[in-house]
Amino acid sequence: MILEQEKYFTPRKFLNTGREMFVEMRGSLHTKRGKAGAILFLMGILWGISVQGTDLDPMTTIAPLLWSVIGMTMFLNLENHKLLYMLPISRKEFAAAQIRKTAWILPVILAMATFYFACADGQNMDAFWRDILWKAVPGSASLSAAQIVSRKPLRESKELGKEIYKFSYGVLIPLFAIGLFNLTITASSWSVVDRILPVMNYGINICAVRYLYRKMAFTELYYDEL
Amino acid sequence: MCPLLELKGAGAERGNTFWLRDINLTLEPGTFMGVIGRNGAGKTTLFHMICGLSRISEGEVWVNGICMNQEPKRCKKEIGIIFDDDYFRLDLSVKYGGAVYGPYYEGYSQKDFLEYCRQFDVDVRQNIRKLSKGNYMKFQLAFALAHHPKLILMDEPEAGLDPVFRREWMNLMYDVLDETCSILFATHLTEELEQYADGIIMLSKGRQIFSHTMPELEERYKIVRGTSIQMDALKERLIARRKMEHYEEGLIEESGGRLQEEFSVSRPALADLLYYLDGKF
Repeated sequence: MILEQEKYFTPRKFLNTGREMFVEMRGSLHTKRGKAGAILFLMGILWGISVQGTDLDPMTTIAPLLWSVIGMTMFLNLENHKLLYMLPISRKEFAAAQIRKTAWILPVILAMATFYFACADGQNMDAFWRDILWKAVPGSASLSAAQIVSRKPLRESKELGKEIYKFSYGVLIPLFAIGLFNLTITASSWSVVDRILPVMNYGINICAVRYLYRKMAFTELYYDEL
Repeated sequence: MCPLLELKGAGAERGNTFWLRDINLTLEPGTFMGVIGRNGAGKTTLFHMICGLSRISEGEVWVNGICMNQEPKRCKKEIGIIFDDDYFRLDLSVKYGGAVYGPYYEGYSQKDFLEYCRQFDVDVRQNIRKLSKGNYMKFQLAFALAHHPKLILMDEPEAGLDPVFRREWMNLMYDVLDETCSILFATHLTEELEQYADGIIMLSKGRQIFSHTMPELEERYKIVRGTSIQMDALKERLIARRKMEHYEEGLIEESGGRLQEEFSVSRPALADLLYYLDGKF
């Protein structure tokens, strides 16, 4: 038996994933869903830009961000389950590809969040970095991981009782809730109390990504059992 | 040289139901093998099992000497797939469809893919969704050939296509076939298989009825025609029979015993075999 030790997180594989996502996005613009997603994504950005200059209200900052994220989820989604099962790709490799996609989405969301925080009135340098470190980074990671979970890259099997659907929501809800909660609550200082929520956010992100990877990589399910 | 495809007592199940049971098949390099059977006989499930879409619940599937049960990823690299249904992401252009999926195969060459598309008259800028059915099949063939598979699986690719295209398609298949590559081809168009196939496997209700080369089939099964009394005399050897207007016709499996000269004996067409071995009388 040949033991193949493959590396799933090489720069080349990251670049391939990026290229695949780019082509997918281009392709999805041919669909109604993709067009609607792209419009939502752009509207979120425009909305975010237009609300700058007002006082820093977390909801005002987060709502356009969320709008963009939902738009991105819609127009990145061109999965074809049958194809995934037919390609010569191991389950671990597939799980790793989803994590690589998360890694590509994260900087996009982070860039938008950073822009909103940077442009908000009433921000000083100290508050800006605090917002980036405690809110934007973990919040973006939550939203990007939530994108992968919400797309259900593996579907459930009712026949076999392998309901990955439920698993997705089990992870999606706390991930999304804590991420959003963290983004909307203003961290007013560097105190320990103000750090509890961001630390929880970082924690749930790490757990969700690890859990997601393990669940996807070790689920033995065939297309005809979906 | 090892067989390009070998099924040893292979079976597939879905939930608690068996869809295929005890399939034995050997496909030597350079062979064009047809799969026949009625609707629901298990042809598509057989293909799904070979290409990893269905769980192999019993027996073994070997592709080019690699065991599918143990190394599905390596096996899938050896297989080119041409299916009737849409398994590509249809919103990509032909060119990008190749560019996105191709790198999953080690031997894939985008240059070869584009060259095959040009050769088959497939517009590479066209959206996959907008391709005609014939061109979609050609696109799949170009993609399959661009990663140099040892085994090409085709599940009713020419269903719903015009007769001219079907003939062109079969000629194309014949050109593709060489001593390193084999084709497994499921179809209801049995006349075309009679012209081109080297061997046939027949399925019925998830079970294998036979798997023979064309000369073996010709030697093994015979259609006999005679009067009702004559056919009664052959009762023991008849697999099935039916009444025609002026005579009766039946299928026998040759067991060495010679037939009397008054019988009219002919080679059965594949459609006859399907009818007599899996029909209702």
